[in-house]
Amino acid sequence: MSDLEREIRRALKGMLDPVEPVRSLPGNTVRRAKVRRFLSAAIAGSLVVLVIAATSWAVIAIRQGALEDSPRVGGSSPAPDEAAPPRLYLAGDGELWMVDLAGRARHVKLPELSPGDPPYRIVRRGERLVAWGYETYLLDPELESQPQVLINDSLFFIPSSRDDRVWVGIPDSDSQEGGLEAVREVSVNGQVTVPDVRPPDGKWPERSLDDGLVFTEEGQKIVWDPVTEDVVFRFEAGDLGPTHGNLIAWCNASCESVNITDVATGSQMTVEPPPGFAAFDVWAGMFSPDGTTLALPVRRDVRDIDDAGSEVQLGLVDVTDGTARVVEGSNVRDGYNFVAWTSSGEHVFFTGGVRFEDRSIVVYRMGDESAQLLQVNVGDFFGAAAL
Amino acid sequence: MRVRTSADMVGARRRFRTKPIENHLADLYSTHSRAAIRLAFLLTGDRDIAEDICQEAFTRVGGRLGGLRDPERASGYLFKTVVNLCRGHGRGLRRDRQLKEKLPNPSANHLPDVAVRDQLSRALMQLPIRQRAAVFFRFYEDLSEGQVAEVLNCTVGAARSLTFRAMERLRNHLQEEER
Repeated sequence: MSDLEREIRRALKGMLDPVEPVRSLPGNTVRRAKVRRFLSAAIAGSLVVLVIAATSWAVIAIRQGALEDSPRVGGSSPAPDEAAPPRLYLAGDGELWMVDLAGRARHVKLPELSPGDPPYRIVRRGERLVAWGYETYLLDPELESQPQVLINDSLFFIPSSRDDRVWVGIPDSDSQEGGLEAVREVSVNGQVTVPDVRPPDGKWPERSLDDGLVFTEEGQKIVWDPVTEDVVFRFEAGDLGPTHGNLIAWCNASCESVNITDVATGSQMTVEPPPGFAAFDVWAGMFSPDGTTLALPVRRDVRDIDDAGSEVQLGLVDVTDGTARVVEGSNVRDGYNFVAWTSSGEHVFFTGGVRFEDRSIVVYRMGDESAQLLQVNVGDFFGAAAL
Repeated sequence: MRVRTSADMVGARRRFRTKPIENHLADLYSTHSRAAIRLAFLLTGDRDIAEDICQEAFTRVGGRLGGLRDPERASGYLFKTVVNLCRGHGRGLRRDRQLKEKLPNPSANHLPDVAVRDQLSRALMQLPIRQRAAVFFRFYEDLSEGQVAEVLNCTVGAARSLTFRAMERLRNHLQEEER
């Protein structure tokens, strides 16, 4: 046994031996356990009855050929032909615009959307919207009700790899460098799906994958499992882009090609720009909801950070074969280029333009020949999400 | 070690169901309440919260005693529940800071290496909860790596890794204190 081990044992004994439990088992614990057991049995019994009833109903309905025509019961998501029309949400400072495909914009004051520079300002999570404004808010997609505080002690959020969740960073008040005391995964229903756990060295997570959170450590990217607190994967990468499941897109500084790494298998794909184009902006990209397409800005010249007047277009990468194409008619000005897929994956919005000047917004419906410019006037926005 | 078969488990369940729940809970309580409360105290740093968590853990385990696939593993289920409740309590790290202030100063009747122990006690409370739990099971409860893995619901490799990294942190902490 090592000296350290011996010291640990002594320290634990010193700390814990004086801690004694209540001498006898409290009566209310037994009573509560009995009630709990009774309720468990009752709930299990009820579920069995419900399952039998539902199965019987389904069998009868199928036999009568009535299932296809019957209305949905209890489902929260509408049938495809009843789906809400695609909408783009643009988050500004203290205000928000909702833009539809006809180019109509609805503007609302939203003081909760305060200035700042969070990693993500507004994201779609399932059929909900999560926005940042020093707290993490849940927004009503219809903009009929006030934002609800989802988490009130978070420094920022990043979207989780699970579609209905976000990871929030809880600040460490003792840290001089803005370190984190914990990260926590929360669903849009407010349920904590992964309780607080301290990230490596209090660092901010950069992305979320199915296998864990991505951090930078000594020039490498690490995938850290917040449940086991183990580093499960390491890889060399430059600027990180969007993620989907265990896929992460990234590129080097000039972004003349995009790499897509699968951290579950370690496999990697390199994608070249479409003919006539020289570079991508991977950091502004977004995977389609089914993960088969990566939409991101493409440019004819390698990025010149002083040249904010140039044009970019929307590129689509087929993740299954690694080919990229450009969407005709998707030209927008360089600047605030946001890509936002609708939850169905049928439409993708693309924005451009700089602060205090006109912004441009195009929308592309998958399968169409070209994108459409939306004739809409909106103010300055710094984040976008679509439903 | 003899491999437990499903017949063993069925036999155990039959034997188990012949006794009323309060007897099982009383057995479990007399055998494991001390370890459970110490674990909860180590993970939360607060005696009152540790008591509450233990009561809740015994209530939950008691409520499921009849339904456990292998009732003889009720203690493992109890410890898992304690760890989960402590994690779910969600304010562990903040409480740790309070605990650092609360930790009693070592008294004169301690061993000569009391300074090291004091440093270690404080360093222990700064470990992530799962590392702290791994240290508890490994060095206080003297469980094997396999048993630690079972209680922490992870692989043996992950349990070993948790313990190893906890010791690394403690070692670094002591070295930093020495400087």
